[in-house]
Amino acid sequence: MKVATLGSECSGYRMIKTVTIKNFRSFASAKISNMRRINVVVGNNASGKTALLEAIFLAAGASPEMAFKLRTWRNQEVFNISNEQNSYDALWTDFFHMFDQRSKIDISLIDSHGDQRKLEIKFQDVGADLFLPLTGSSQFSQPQPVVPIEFKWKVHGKEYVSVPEIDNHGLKLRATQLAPIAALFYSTATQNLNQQYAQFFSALSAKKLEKDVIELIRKEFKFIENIEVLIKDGIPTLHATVQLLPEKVPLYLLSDGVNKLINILLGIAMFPKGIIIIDEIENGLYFERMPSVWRSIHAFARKYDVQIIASTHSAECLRALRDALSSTPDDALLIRTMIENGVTSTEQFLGSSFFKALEMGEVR
Amino acid sequence: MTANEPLTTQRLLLCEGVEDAQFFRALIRIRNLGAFDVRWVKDVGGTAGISGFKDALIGSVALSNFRKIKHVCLIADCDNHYGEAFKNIKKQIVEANSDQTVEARFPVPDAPYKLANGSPLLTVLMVPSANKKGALESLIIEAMRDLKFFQKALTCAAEALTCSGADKWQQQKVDKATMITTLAISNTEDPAINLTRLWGRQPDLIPLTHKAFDDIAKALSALKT
Repeated sequence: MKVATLGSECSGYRMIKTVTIKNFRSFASAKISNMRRINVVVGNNASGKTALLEAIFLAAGASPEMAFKLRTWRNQEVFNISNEQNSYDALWTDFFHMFDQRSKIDISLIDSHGDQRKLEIKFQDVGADLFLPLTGSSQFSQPQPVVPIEFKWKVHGKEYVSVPEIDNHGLKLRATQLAPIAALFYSTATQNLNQQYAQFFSALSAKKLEKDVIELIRKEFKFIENIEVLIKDGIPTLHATVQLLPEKVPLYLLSDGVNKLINILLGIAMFPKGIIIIDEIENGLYFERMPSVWRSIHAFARKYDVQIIASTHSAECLRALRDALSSTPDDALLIRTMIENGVTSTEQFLGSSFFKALEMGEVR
Repeated sequence: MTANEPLTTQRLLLCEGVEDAQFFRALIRIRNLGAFDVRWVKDVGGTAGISGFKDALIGSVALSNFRKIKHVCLIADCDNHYGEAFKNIKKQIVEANSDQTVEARFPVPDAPYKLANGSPLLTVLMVPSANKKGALESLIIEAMRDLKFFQKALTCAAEALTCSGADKWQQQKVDKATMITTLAISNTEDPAINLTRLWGRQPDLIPLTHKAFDDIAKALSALKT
C-alpha cells in the first residue's frame, strides 16, 4: 500500500458534500453531490475511479506537489526534465482531458456549510513565459521560453497561486499560503511505509490516543494482544504482541489485512476532520472480515469526524458495507463511474437505495 | 440466477417472488416475447411479495444500467380483490417517489394494464387478469386442467383440500395449495418440485404455449420501449 499525505492541519474543514470536475483526466465534466461519511466508488476498469480520487486529493491540497504525489500512485515516480516546452508539458499533459492543454481544469469541493474550495489548473496565456536559467550543464544548456502552468486555489474569495518553475536544480514547486485539507491517500501500489506508520502511532501515543486503535485491532484480530513501536535495525517499527508467540513481531510480518486495517485506523486518528482516500479497499482483506472492518472504519470515522472515500471492485465489500451500516444506510453513498462512447460520467445513490439494489442485481 | 446479474435490456419486470420471476423468464423465452430483465422483490429491504414493490423500485434505480431501462413493469397477483391489490401497488409507487433519498420518479398508472407515461414508462400487470381473484398459480391450474396427465392428481388434490378444509380458503390460497399438491403427487421423480425449478427441469410438463397464458404474454409483448 502506498500512501501520500496532505498536511496535518485542518482549519475549518467540514465534510465535502459536492465535487465538480471539469477537464480533468477522463472527465470532461462530472458532478457528485450528496456525499456522505462513507463514499464508495465503483465502476469498470478505466472508467475514472482513480481519477475521481485524484481530483479530490488535488483540490484538497495547496501545492502543485500533489500532482507529483499522484504520479507516484500511478507508478510514475521517475521523470526527466529538460529545457524544452515538450519536457515541461509532459509533466502535466495527462491531467488534461483528452490531453488538451488549451482547456482549463476546474475541480471544486463544496462543504457541508456551502463553502467552496476551487482549484484551477491551466497553462498561462502566451506572453507570461517562464524562462529557464542558463546553466553550464548539458541538461539546461540553452535558455528556452516555457509557457508555465498555473495552479490556482480559490477559497473564501481569496486566490492562492503557485507556478512550478525549473531552475538549475530542477523543478521548483512552491506551496501556497492556503491551508490544505488534511487528507491521506492509500493507493494500490505496495511500498514499505512501516516507518511512517510507526511515526503515526508514536504521535498518537504521545497524545495517549493509541488505545483506540489497539482496542479496535484487538477486537478484530483476537490473536493480537498489543501494538507498540520498537526499534528494529535502528528503525522505529510497529510491533505486535501475538498470543502464543514468545517474542513481539514486526507488524509487517503479519497479514496484509492486519496491516491494512491498522494503517487505515491510524490514518483516521491522525487526520481528524480530514479525508481518507483508499483505492481498492478490499485488497488484502478476507471477505468474512469485511463487515467488521467496515464497522471499525465507520465507528472511527465518526469518532474523528473523518470522511472516507474508497474505491472497490468487490460486491462482497459492498454487501459487507450494507451489513455494517444497516441501521444508518444513508451514512453511505455509492458513486458509480461509467465510460460510454469515450465519455466518462458518474451517478450516485444513497445506501437506502443501493443496499436494496444489492439484493436485486449488479450495482458495480 | 445470481444476485450479480447486470441489467442488459430496456424493459425491467419486477415480480413478487423468485417463483414468479422464473415463470416469466420461461414464458418470455418460450414465447419469444423480446428482451426483458426479470427481477423479484423478495427479501429486498426485508419486505416480500406484493408489499415489496416500494423497496424494489427504490433499489432498482441503483442497479447498473438502470438509466437504460425504458419501461418498468410490475407484475402482481390480484389476490382476493384485484382493485385493492392495485391500490396497494399504486400507493407503493407514490411512496417510492416521495422517498427523498432517490432522485428517480416513476409515473403512476390509473389502472392495471394501463401505461403510465414518464421516464421510465411504467405498467402494472395483474394475474390471473384484471377483475379476477387469484394469483399466478390460478393461471397455471387453468392450463393443468386441460392436460390429461394432471386429471387424476387434480381430483385427488381437490379431495385433499376438501378433507382438510383448505377449500374454504381465499381463492388465491386455494389455487396455490392445489397447484403445489397436484405437482407433488404427479411427480415421482421430484415431488418437491416448485415453480423456481420446474421450468428449468421439466419445461414441457406445463406447456407455456397454453392459451391460459395468452393474455399475460400479449400484455408483456406490448410493453413499449
